[in-house]
Amino acid sequence: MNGAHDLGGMDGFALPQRDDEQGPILKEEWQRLLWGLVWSLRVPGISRGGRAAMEQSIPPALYLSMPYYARWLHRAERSVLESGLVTAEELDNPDGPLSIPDIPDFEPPGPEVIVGGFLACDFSSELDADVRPRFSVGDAVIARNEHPAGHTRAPRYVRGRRGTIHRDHGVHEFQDQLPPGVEREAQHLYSVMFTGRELWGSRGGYKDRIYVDLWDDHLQSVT
Amino acid sequence: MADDKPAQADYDLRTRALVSVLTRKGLVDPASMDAVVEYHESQVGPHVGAGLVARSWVDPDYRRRLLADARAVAREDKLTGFQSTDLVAVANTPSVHNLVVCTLCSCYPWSLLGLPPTWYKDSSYRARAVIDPRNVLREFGLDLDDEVEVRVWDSTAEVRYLVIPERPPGTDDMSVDELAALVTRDSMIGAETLTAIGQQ
Repeated sequence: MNGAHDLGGMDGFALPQRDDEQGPILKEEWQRLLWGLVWSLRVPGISRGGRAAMEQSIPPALYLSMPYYARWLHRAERSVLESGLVTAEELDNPDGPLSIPDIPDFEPPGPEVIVGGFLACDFSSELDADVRPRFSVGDAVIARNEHPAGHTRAPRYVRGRRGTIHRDHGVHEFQDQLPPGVEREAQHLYSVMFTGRELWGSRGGYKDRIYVDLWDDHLQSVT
Repeated sequence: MADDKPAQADYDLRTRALVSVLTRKGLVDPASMDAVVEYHESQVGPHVGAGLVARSWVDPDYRRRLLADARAVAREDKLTGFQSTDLVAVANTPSVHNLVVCTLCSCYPWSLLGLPPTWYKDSSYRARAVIDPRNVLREFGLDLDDEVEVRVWDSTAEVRYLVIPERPPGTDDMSVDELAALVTRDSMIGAETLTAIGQQ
């Protein structure tokens, strides 16, 4: 999706200020509440996946005007509303009457379950699949010039550009959103090196190298 | 963004409405919410990554394994977490400087560095780090020689990148713990180097 989230190379933003904050990162009380909520909410029917895709469907002007945690808030509201367990009227009048959903055998998980889950978690997107890589380290490749309507991990700024396979990360779950009914084979993920000059023309630094993680389906051979 | 008072008030109101409704419906345990914040503010943070960097400075075998397969090392050291454990470590040298970004969102190695700083999530940083990394670094206070190769790592998949900064000079007699105390969060993203003891 050619959304506003795909920011690589865009000009015109105010310069970033590198603050030296080393203390609490969640500065506002609402950010603390929201962060706690997002990771504590484990309810059947309330979606926890598809975060990236949900963010990218925010209209461009709105996306660019929203600070980081406001986008988390937007996602949290959308996911609870889409579940049907909460209504917009209830959120507009949070102290007013509301319906208590009847979810069989549901208890909201307590601190031991939630934080214990963090400590035990070993999340990897690598798949246990014996799949041959289509490319080898050192191969010249071109990032396919594709502009899918759904979520994709191939940023606009590499499409059609020539790079070199730098590292094979192994077989990883493909993260692009696929059209209904389409399935993708398990495939390798690579770190692909592009030179600054290849990506940005004369504006690219001649000693700049940009490494982007791309899957087999994002790449084609240079023939 | 903190000076944007009407927007902050709106976010505050909406967040409290969500929390209130979900709590009253019995869908979330407020004690869990507090524990999550406590965990992210005290247990995970840059000290985790700093320990790993400091060890890589004193233990050549550890450094070699870290650069070859950081994920295996993180698993051995029980440094995995709920964010991706598909970790890659990249080392700065006198001729190579590494910088990490996520142009598509704000992916970041939470389990090693805690939550990302504001500048890392800023649109400006995400937009400019890939097209103009040297000037971004210059604005951050790091003026690299033209001959230094800049490697920018865009975290477009679930792989997370950790920069191993160069060991500062004059630290030969320091213990691993003392060395770890020198390693800043921003140096492990590549936004600064550690040029001398205590200097950031």
